[in-house]
Amino acid sequence: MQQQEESEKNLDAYFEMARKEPPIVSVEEVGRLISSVPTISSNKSIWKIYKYWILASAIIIVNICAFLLYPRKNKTIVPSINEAAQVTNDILVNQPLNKSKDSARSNLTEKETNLSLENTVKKEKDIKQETKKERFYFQGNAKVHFEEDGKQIEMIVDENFMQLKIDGKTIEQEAYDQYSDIIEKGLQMKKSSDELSTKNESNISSEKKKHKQTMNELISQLGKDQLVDIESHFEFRLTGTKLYIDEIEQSDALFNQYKNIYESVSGNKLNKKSNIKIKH
Amino acid sequence: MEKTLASKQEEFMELYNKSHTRLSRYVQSVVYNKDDVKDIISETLLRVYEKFEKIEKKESFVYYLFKTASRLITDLHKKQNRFTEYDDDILQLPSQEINTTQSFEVKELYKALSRLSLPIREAIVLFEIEGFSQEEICGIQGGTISGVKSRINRGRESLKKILINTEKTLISNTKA
Repeated sequence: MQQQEESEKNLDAYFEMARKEPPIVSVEEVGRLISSVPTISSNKSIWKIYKYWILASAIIIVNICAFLLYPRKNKTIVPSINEAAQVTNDILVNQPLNKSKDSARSNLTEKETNLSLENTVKKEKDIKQETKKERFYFQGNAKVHFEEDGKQIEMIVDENFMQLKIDGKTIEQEAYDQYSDIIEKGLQMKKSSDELSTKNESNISSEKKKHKQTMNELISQLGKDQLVDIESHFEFRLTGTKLYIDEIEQSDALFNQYKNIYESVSGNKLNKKSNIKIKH
Repeated sequence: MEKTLASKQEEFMELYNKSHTRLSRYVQSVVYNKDDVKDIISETLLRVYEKFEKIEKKESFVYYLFKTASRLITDLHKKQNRFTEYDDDILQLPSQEINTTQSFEVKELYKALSRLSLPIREAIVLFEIEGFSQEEICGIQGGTISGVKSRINRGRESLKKILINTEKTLISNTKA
């Protein structure tokens, strides 16, 4: 116990000595240090104020440099206009006009990937010759281009045949008998394209009809059930799980009734993501 | 602009003068390399000076100073992984040159302190040598008051043991 007290006292004596220890760094040294600070802090404050501007401009400069200096590899991959024309031409001619634009585009991208650098020059030459062979335009009067026995044929075709050009020369109507085979071929091409377009049109119109029929059916049923006034404005919304009229949720019985009507008339089934809206 | 800077410097130095001795003594009691002591003091000053305008209560200047120094010491400790133990060759304090009778006890105390872990060493120095209260040490070091208390108690106990051992070895050496 006594020993412990002694050691406590000794320790306190040590601390007492340490309290009298003078500092190793003088105040003058520190004063000198502080006097040099303003320049450092002013530099820092400039950085603080303008750092976002400096960083933003640096990013812009780097991007511009990268854009200018980076070799654009795509240049070699993207086909020239002639190549693209060739590809579309192939699709139109070899897969006789029964492919949509999307499929044509997908074929184009496939072809893009297959192009090799070595063959580009050679291909361009071939393509220039082939593109003139057969080409179709379907805007307004149909223009049909193709090659027959080394001659460039151009026909402008309407409901009735109109004009024939061979190697750029217009053929008079009296001489058409001599070119009956060529005319027949051109007309056949026009016919096949017409068939395709009419098919598409009929598909679209039948869908529209069905849509309209569904809407009419739903509206008339709403009138019968006296849920809305058909003469005035209203909003009808049918989702996969709920029915809303003027954004007011309706009972499950009504939902099931209108769901059945919709599914039976349109032939489509409602799913969770369905959201059919009618604004009257 | 120059006037404001000068007045700022004056105000800062006026406040700093009051606590310079304490800060310097604290750093040299925890860090035993002369260059490191100088570096930490100067870095502390620069950091506090930069944010001097933001210190609303000038009474808290001292704690701000010590808190910054404590953080810098911790960073240095992490960098060096551990401090080198006190060595007469390493720490050449000016007091050694001026005052040849620099207390033998102070050297022994530094040696003993150097064997403690940094948080305990800091707590002991701040409490026993610098005279900060436990609440103030809690503010400087972080953590809880009970943590500070236990650090001080553990530190004292370990120091006692170390110093008794050194005394014993000294007595045996002189007898021999």
